[in-house]
Amino acid sequence: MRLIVLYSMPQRPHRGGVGAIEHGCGNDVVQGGSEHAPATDVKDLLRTRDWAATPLGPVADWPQSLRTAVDLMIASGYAMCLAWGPDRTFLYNQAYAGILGRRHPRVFGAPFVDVWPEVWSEIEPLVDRTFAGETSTFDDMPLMMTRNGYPEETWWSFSYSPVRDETGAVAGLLNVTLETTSRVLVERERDAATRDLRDSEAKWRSVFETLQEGFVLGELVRDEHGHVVDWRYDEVNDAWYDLMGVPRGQAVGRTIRQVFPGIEEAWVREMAQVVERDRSVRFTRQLGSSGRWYDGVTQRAGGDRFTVIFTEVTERVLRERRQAALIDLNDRLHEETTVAAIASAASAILAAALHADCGGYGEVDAVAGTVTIAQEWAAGDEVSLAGTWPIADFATSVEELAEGRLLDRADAPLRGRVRQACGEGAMVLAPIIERGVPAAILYLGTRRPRAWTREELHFVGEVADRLRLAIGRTRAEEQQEVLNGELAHRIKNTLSVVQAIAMQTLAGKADATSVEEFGSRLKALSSAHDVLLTRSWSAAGLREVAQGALSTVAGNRVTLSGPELMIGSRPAMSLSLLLHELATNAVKYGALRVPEGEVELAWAIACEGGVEMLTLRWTERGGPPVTPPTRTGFGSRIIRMGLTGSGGVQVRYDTSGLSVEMRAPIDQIGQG
Amino acid sequence: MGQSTPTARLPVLIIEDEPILRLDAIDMVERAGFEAVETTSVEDAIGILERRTDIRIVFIDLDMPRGVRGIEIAAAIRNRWPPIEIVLTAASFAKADLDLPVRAEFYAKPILHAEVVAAMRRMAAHATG
Repeated sequence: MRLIVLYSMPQRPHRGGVGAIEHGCGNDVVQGGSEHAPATDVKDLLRTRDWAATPLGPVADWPQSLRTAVDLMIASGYAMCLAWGPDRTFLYNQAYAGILGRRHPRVFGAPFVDVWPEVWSEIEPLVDRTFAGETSTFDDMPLMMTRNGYPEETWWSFSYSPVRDETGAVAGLLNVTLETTSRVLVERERDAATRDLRDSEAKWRSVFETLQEGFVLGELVRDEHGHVVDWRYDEVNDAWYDLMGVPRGQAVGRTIRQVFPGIEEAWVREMAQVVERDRSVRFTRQLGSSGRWYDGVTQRAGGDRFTVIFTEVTERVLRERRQAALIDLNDRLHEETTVAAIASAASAILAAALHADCGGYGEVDAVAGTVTIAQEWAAGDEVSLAGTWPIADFATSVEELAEGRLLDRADAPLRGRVRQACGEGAMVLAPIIERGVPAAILYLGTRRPRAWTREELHFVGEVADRLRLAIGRTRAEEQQEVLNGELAHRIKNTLSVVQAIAMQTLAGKADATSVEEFGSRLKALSSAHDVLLTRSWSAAGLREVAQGALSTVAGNRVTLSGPELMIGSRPAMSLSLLLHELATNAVKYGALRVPEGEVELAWAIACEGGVEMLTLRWTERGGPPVTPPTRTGFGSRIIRMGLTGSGGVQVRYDTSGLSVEMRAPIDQIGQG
Repeated sequence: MGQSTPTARLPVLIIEDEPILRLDAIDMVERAGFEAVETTSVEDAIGILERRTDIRIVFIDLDMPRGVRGIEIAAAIRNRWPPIEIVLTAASFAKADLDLPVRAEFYAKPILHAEVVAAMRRMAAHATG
């Protein structure tokens, strides 16, 4: 059994080993009776010890006071020891034996000084004071004990109290001890926990304060019916103040409605839901009073409390909005076909994306120095800017607009009606230049002063560029349409005149049939132009071309069948003339000469040897028997030239009726 | 020009400002057995219609650039002289899509004489029948 005594004065903090004396047991030589296992029960020792050999003398001679003290001590369950007489003869009970470790039972009846020789110098004054009548206590003395088979740290409180004999003089010292190990351990744990908590708190507070994200610990505020009406800031970090634009220290203890009067209801409603439904919510929301956007997570934090961690995403949200607006704009610009509609779409999208109060498009009269606004967009029922206003009212000039730059009028004074309509906030003007002259402006204004960001100005520039392109494209298309109409008109008028001249020239000289044939062919050519005109001259639908060419001669007696197919302008002309000849021929000699006759025009596309081929088949049925013509006239030559003017035509004079098959590669049909 | 039915020489008013086309139109109606009454302007046409109450058919070219638009004259004639039949022609395809007065017939340029004459004969038969 090994014993290490750790001793420290009670007032010292007992941190493990501080001020401790480690005492080896090498000196503790077991004396006397080492050959036999010594008695260890103190009652046995009390009975068997040769007390006559000690200063106490035989037990029979012990004064009553000593006997009482010894009996009391032996009977106690608490560890106690007694030092009696001038030699401080040391007695103890069974519980105290555990404290003595291997010194027990050797020191039973030994002088006090021999019991704790290594610390005697420290104990002695206390012992002396006790014998002088004082009571000394010392608490939580650490003691390394091996009572359970392994060394363990234990703590004890001692009380040295004087014991008086029959004469009233102090004859002994009673030491009552109390093991305080559990308490000390609990206190130690508590201290450690407190320290850890403090460290942890310091750590988290530093995280909290250095966090880039805003953090809020809030608590719901309920009315007398328990309805959530508001919530209070219990804790916010510095980032919160910076992100929200609130001076530091001005939120904790106040409610959100107090800090942000007129705040959107969602900021209160959502927190109530988080607490009441006990689930976290991710949000991206705008604080209307500042226009800034925040993205974060709200979580319940026990009871009516919740936490919010968030970051500002104003730039991201605005950027996404602008991108969405540009996509939207592209779609609208492609859909709209007039300058007015395009300008209207652009100004509405621009104003909405940038949260402007007014915006619009005005045509500039550079000579008169005026802007005429037909298309405007305004938030709510603001003063309308529709009308004609001096350019100067927009705080600019024709010369300045002509430079083509985006103009940020944030600090230039607007005038007149423009000032009434757009207020005294910030205005941005994007001039639209056509042929070097300002032709229009795209404007955007806010009622309240506002500094346009670089990104916002860039966005306005982009919208203006797109608008400019779209307007240019639309004007070109409008112009082309006018030209097309004019061209068609002239061509057909000219054909009319050609026809009139032919009639006048041939009247009485040629036979009536020939004159009529000529007029009819001219008409067929003209019908191809009609179809081409509606398709801007580049291509026409095969079905439409066929219908146009056949309607005059054959009405609707020809059945058309085949897929939708666009054909080029030259094949359209050829087809028109060709079908006209076939129809005329059918009316004169073929299937259309009799009421029961039928004609079918069918076309199909098939891949032949890697080439897409169009096959067009004219089939007559139910007409009189046909025979090949003896003479090759203009009509049959046109037919033989085919769709592309280079053949590919097979004419068969079957007994059932004429059939003509025309073939041409699709890539030749689609062009020219 | 097919058969020439000797209809009583019914007058047809031709309103056409393009000389060659006017000549051709006159030729067309005369050969069809009508009496051609010609004018180059809309204003004159109104005056003629006021004097010549026997005119039952009017042939108008909507492409005339001067004065009131042809289509409006056609509408005015229809309102003022409901029994008068109207034949319209135009080079511009789009004009065919315009609101034509009731009973008016439209033939795109270049016209086929046979078609127009057939229409006029139908109208004449209706007017005299």
